[in-house]
Amino acid sequence: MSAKDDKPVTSRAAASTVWPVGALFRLSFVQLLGTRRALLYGVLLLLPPVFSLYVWLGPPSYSETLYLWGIIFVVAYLGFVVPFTALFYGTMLIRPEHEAHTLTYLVTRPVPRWLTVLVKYVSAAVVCVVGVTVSMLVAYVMLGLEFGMAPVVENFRYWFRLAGVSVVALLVYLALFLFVGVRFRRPVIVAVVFIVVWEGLVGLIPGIIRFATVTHYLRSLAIRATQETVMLPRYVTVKTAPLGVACVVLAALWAAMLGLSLGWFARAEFHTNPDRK
Amino acid sequence: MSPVIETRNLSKWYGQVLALNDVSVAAGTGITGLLGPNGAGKSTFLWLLTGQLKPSQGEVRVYGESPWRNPALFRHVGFCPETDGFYRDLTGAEFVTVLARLSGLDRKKARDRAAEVLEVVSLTEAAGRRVGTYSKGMRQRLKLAQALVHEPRLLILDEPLAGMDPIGRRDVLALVRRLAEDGTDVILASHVLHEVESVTSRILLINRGRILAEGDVHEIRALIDKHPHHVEIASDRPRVLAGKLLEADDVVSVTVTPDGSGVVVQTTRPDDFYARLPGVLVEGNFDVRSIASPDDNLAAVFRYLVE
Repeated sequence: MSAKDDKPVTSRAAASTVWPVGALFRLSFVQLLGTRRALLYGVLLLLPPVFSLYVWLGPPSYSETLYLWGIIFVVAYLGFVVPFTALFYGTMLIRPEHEAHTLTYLVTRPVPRWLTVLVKYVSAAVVCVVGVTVSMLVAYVMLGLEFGMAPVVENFRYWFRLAGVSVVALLVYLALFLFVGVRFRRPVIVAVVFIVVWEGLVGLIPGIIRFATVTHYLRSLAIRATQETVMLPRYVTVKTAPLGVACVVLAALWAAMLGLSLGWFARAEFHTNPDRK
Repeated sequence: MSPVIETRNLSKWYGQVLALNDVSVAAGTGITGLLGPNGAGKSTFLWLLTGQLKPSQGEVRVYGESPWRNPALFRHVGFCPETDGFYRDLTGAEFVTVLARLSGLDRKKARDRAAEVLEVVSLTEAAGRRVGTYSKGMRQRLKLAQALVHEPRLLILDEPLAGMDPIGRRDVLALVRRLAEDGTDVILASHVLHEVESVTSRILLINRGRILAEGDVHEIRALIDKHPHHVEIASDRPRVLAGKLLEADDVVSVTVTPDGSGVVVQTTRPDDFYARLPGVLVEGNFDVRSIASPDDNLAAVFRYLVE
């Protein structure tokens, strides 16, 4: 025992979690918003509003507000912005800290490891949800430049419901890519392959294999959320899952991926043989 | 009373690579030096002590508790890693403050303690600058500051002087001594012998994943009496002196130094040799300028054991 006193040093229940949580949020936001990825994130979020601008400035459109909004949501947000946003942030929560040798500071503090990952996940979710929701709102309102504000205001509830679907999609994809980030040495490559090959291509193959993709259940959720009023592309509406099934599958996937991430990180050994540094 | 750190049959494998092999050691209060060349297993040993690695075999205890998956223990442990990793967008003050809060200090206390330790490591003037603009020596001192900020009872330092200038090294070593005097236990890992020797005589020698020796420098010296002890004698007439010294069987060899200023004697029985030496010098009327034993330096002990 140290010369300072002879009492037992600590007990396992004694770790403080109040002040560390604030500090963890602070560190997480600094990393999420202060990197080059954040710049790329901003560019990604601008793409759909730029498309809305093109609709206004380009050739006269013969579509309707809801149809265009359905296209923008499914193609731009559900198919591209949401999964890639989740990829950017989900995969960067742990691995870059490991590579930058800053993880040591986090795992040698009186903070449970699972809490560190959970706070990082929540921080990333806040950044992603706020960014994507604002981008969706701007893209939707800008459709009013082409069609007038009346149909935009009138159909706002459908924007709101699809925004809810995008939040669900972000939470699920973030949990999935968080797991990829803590588990794989090259998480970005794994995540890109997952989005492009699995979600993008396999999700379009007819038959039951599409049931194994996340996007299938997200599309099902989108159809039900808009009460099939919004004219979504035909390939989205074929053989969708019931609302209850979609909710259960997505919730189970989210819980499993988040739980696995927390559990794996709590037991992870991030150091390798120093001779091979 | 349990020791500060204790390991029993501790081994660590990285796949097929054995990094630490059946290490059983204990270190008490005060400063303990962990000496070994690069790749000896020092960092692995410290990562096990700080719960960053799980033992493959055996056990490790810090103040009687296992550090693996025991975050509460780290309220009392400060770790200064060898790796040069930082949140470079933060200022030095922000970096130390945020890590103080991670150690459980409230916002005000964290800020106050950060200011204190930054002053202790002479970084007050640079506290408002981004860490990315710091020199290597400043970053080393910043790592030390974050390890000290929560007033740990055990400070674990992994090569804390790497990249520092001589004045910085002197200041840090003085700080380590001061902390130990105030009751902080310190584990200081280094591959530079005189650094450790200047703050403690209690050492663990490690090489190729094994603890070669532990204890006081002089105790370790006793362990290696099978190795010849070197004595350098600067005198006139070195060749004549060499002949006189070789007459007894306690001397293994005598060589004249390249510049002809003296002799280097190897003896397996230093006590007998030192008892005999004055008589030889007086009898031969040699003019002796100095007698020195490089083996008194830890470097010689270390070299013996590693070889």
